Amino acid sequence: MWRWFYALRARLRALVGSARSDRDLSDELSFHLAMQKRANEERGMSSAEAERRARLSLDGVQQTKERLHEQRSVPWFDHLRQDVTFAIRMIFRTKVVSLAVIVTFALGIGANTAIFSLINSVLLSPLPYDSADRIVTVEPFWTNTGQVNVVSSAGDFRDWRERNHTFESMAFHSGREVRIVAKGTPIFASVQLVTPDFFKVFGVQPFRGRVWTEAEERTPLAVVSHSWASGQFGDAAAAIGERIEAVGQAAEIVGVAPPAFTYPGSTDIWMSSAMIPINSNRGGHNYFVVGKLKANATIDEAGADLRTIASQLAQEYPENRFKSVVITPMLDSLTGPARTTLWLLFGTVLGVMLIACVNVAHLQLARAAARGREMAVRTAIGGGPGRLTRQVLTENVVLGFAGCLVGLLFGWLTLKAFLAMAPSDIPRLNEVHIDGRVLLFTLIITTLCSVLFGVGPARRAARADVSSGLRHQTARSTVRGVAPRVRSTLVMAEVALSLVLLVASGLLLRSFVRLSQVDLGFTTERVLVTTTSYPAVGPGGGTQATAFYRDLLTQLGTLPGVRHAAGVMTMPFDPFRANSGYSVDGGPTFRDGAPLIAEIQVVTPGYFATVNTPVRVGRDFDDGDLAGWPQVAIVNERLAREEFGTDNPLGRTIQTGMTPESRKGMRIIGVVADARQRSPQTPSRPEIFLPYLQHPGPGSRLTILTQTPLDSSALTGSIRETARKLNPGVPIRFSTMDEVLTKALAYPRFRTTLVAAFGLLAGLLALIGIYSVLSYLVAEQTPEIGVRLALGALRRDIFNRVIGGSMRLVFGGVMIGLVLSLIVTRAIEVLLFEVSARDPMTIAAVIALLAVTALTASSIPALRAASVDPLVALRDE
Amino acid sequence: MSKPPDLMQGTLDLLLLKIIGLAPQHGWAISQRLKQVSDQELQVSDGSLYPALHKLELSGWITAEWKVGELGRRAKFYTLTRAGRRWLDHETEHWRRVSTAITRVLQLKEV
Repeated sequence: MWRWFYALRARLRALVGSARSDRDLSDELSFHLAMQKRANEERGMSSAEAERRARLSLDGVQQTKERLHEQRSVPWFDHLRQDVTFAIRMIFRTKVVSLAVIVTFALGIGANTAIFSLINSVLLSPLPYDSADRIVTVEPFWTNTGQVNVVSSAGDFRDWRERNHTFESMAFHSGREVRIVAKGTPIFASVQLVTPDFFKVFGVQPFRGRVWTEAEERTPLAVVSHSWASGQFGDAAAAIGERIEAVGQAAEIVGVAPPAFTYPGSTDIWMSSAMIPINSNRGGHNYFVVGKLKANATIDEAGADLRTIASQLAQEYPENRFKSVVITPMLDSLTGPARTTLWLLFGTVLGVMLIACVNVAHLQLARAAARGREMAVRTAIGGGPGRLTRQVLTENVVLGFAGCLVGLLFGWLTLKAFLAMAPSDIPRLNEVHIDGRVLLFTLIITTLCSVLFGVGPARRAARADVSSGLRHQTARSTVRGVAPRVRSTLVMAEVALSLVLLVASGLLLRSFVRLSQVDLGFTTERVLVTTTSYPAVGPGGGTQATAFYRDLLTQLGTLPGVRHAAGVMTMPFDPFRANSGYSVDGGPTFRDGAPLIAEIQVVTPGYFATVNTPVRVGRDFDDGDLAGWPQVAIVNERLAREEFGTDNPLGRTIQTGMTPESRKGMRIIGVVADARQRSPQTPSRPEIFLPYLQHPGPGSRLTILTQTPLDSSALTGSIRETARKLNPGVPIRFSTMDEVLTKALAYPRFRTTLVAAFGLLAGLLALIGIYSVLSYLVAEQTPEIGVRLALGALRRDIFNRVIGGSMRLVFGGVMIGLVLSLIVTRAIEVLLFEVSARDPMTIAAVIALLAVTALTASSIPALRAASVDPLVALRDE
Repeated sequence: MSKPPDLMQGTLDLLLLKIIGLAPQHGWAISQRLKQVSDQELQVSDGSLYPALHKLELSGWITAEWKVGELGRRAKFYTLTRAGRRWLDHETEHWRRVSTAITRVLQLKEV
C-alpha cells in the first residue's frame, strides 16, 4: 500500500512542482560532479582534467538531465490530456447523441442532487446545537397498548430528573401560539414555557443578555428569539430590557437567543414554566421532555436508567401501572415523520438515475456501433484495445461530467421548487442547501455511472474487427453478434425499473385520491376560521372570556353573509388535542385492563351545523346550557356504540377528568356523527363534546368558525371590526377550513406529487430507451429487411416482427418488474391509505400504460422497417 | 580497456536496491559502492545510474530525501521503502533460482 503512496507522491511532485523538480535535478547532478571531481583530483589529476572526466562519466550532463526530465514527466497525464482533447472533439462531432447523453445524465443527476440535498440537510447533518448527538427526547410509553405519547406528566418528569444517573440536564417545555402584547399591541406569538435547565440542554449561549437562573424561576423574565426580536424592535440587541405581556405576566426581556436557536419549531419567546400553575397530576400529559446525556453515557444506558425509574414509579403510583419510558435521539424524533418520505424519494430518484444510465449505455452502444470503421482504422494503425477502451471511456466520463454540471444546475432549480412546495412541517427546511457533501455525492454517482455504464460500450467499441471493419463501405455495422442481446437486457431492465417506480407512484396516487375523498365527518367548504386569543387570566378570567365569545358569536350571527357562527376549542388536525379518561354512570374507568380514554372537545352551540356534522340522535347544545345549569355533553357515534351498543345513550351520565365541572358527571343529550379530528388518515376515536359556557377554563380559548355562502374573505373586515369593538385587546388572524385541510394533506401531497413526477420521468426515459433501441435495430437490419422484401415477404409481417420483438422485451421487463415491485411496495406500505401494496387495479393500470405507450413508441421504427425500399436497402449493402 | 559486459535487463535495479538497502546514501556513493563491490567488473555508467534511480523512486521502491552531504552541499539521499525491501527479497530469490538454473545448464558436458 505504502508503495503506491510513495510512487504517487513522487509523481505528484514531478507534476506539480515542476520548477522545483528541475532545480532538484540540477542539484543532484552537480553534487555528483563535484564529488567525482574531488575524487579525480585526489588521484592527481589537474582541476580542469578532473572536471572534464567527471562530466564524461555522466555521459554529458545536459543529456542526462534531459533523460531524467523526460522520465519524470508523467505519461498517463499526457495521455489523459490527449484523450480528453480528443473526446471533446468527438463529442462535438456527434452533437445529437452527445446532447442526448448529457441531457439524460443531467435529468438523473439533477433529481438526485436535489433529493440528496434534502436528505443531507434534514436527516444526515447534525442539529445545530452544542453536542447535538447527546440531546434526546424522553417520552412515556404504555406497556399495555404499546402506544408512545409525545408528552409526559410533570410528576413523572420530576422523578426522572431527580433519580437518573445518566443525564447531564433534563427539561420540559410546553406552549403554543398565544396572545401577547408587545409595544402596546396585542399580537400572536409562539410562546414556550420551559423549566430552568432548558437552555442548558441545548447549550444555548445567548446572543445578547442572559437566560434566567433557577432562583429566578418565579420572576417574569423572557428570552426572545433573534428573528422575533429584530422583527419587533428593528435590532435584536434592542430587545433587552423591553417589556412584553404574556401568559398574564408583564415580563422583562433579559436575553436574545442566538439566530440558529428557535427550538421547538420557530419559537418567539421562552418564559419560565413556573409562570402558570403546573398540572402535576400523573394522569395529565402536557409536557415535552428533552434532556442531554452525560458525555460518557450511551443512549442504551440512559434508556435502561430511566426504565428502572419508570418501573419504580409503576409500583408507587396506580396511574403509572402501565407506564414506561422511551428515549430517542433528538435528530430522530425531530425528523421521524419526514424520514420515510425522504428515503422514498431518494429510492425513486436512484431508480430514475439507473434508467438514465441504461439509456446512456444504449446511446453509447449506438455510438460504438457507428464508429466501428473508425475503431477498425485505429486498431489497424496500432491502437491497442486498452488504449482504445480508455479513449472511449474518457469520452463517457467527459460526457458524464458535462451532464453533471448541467445536472447540478437542474438540481439547484429543482431544489428551489421543492422548497417552495414542501410542507412547512418538514423539519429543518431552512437549513437545506447544497454543500460539499452533496457535491461529493454528485461527483461519486457521476463517476460511478459514467464508468460502470461506459466500460461495456467502450470495450465493445475497442474490440473492432479490423478486416471486416475496413472492408465495409458504410461506417456502421462491424459491431454485431452480442450487442442485440445486451441491448435487449438493458431494455428489459429499463421496463422493469420504470414499472416499479410507476407502480409506487400509482399506489401513492390512488392513496391520495382515497385520502382526498375520505368522509371526514365534517365539511371544509366556505368556512372561515378566525383564530383569537382572549387574555383570560386569574380567577374569573375564564368566565370573562366565555362572555366575550358569547357576545361575539351573537353579533357575528347577525352579520350579513354569515349563515352559521360557532366556536371550537381544538381545531381539526391540530396536533395538540385534549383527551381524558372517562366513565359512564359512575362505572369502571378501565375495560380489559386498559383505561377508557376519550378525546375532549369544547364547542359552542351551532358548531355541528357550521361544519355540517350531522346530529344523529338528540339535540345540539343551545344557549340554555349555561354554567350552573344541569351539566350536559354530546358524544360521538363511536363512543355511543362502544358504551351503549344498541341502548339509548340519551339521558345517561358520563364523567371525565378534563375540568372540575366535567368530573361531576354530565347528562348525554345528543350523539353526533364520527369526525376525523386527528388527521384525515386516522379514524375517529371516542369523543366527548362539552358546551363552552359550562367549562370556562378550556372555553376561554376558542377558534371561531363562520359558514358563509359568500366568498369567505368578504367577511374578514366585518368580523375584525365586530371583535375590535367588543375588546380591542384580542388579536385576530384569519384562514379557512380548506387551508387547514390542505395543510393536513401537505405531506401525502408532497410525496405523491414528487414520486409521481419522478415515476413519469422514469417511464418517459424507459420509452425513449425502447424507441432508440428499436430504431437502431431496424436501421441495422435494413439490408436484411431489404432482402426479405425482395424475396417476397409481406410488409405487414415485417411490421409485426418488429412490434413482436418489442412486445417480448416489454413482457420480460414487466415480469421482472412485477417481482421487484412486490418487494419494493412493501417498504411504502406505511404510506398507503386504504390501498393494498399489491393493489391489482394499480398494477394492471401501470402495465396497460406501459404496454400501450411502448407499442406506440415501437410502431414508429416498425413502420419505418415496413416501408424499407428493397432497392435502396440492397444498394446500401 | 575492454568494455564491461552489459547488465541484464532489470539487474541494475536489483543491484541498486541492494546497495541502497545497506544504508541510505546519495547517487555518487551508490555509484562508488557499485564499482567497488563488483571489482570494477560491472561498470555502470553514471549517465544510466540516475535514470535508474529515478525510475525506482517513481515506482515507490525507494524514496528520496534532501540532506546536507559531503562538501557541505545539498545531496539527495535514497532510502529503501518497505515495499522496496519486499521487492528486493523477492527478486533476490528469483535471481538465485535463475542463476542456479543457468549455471547448471552451462555445466552440462558433452557425452
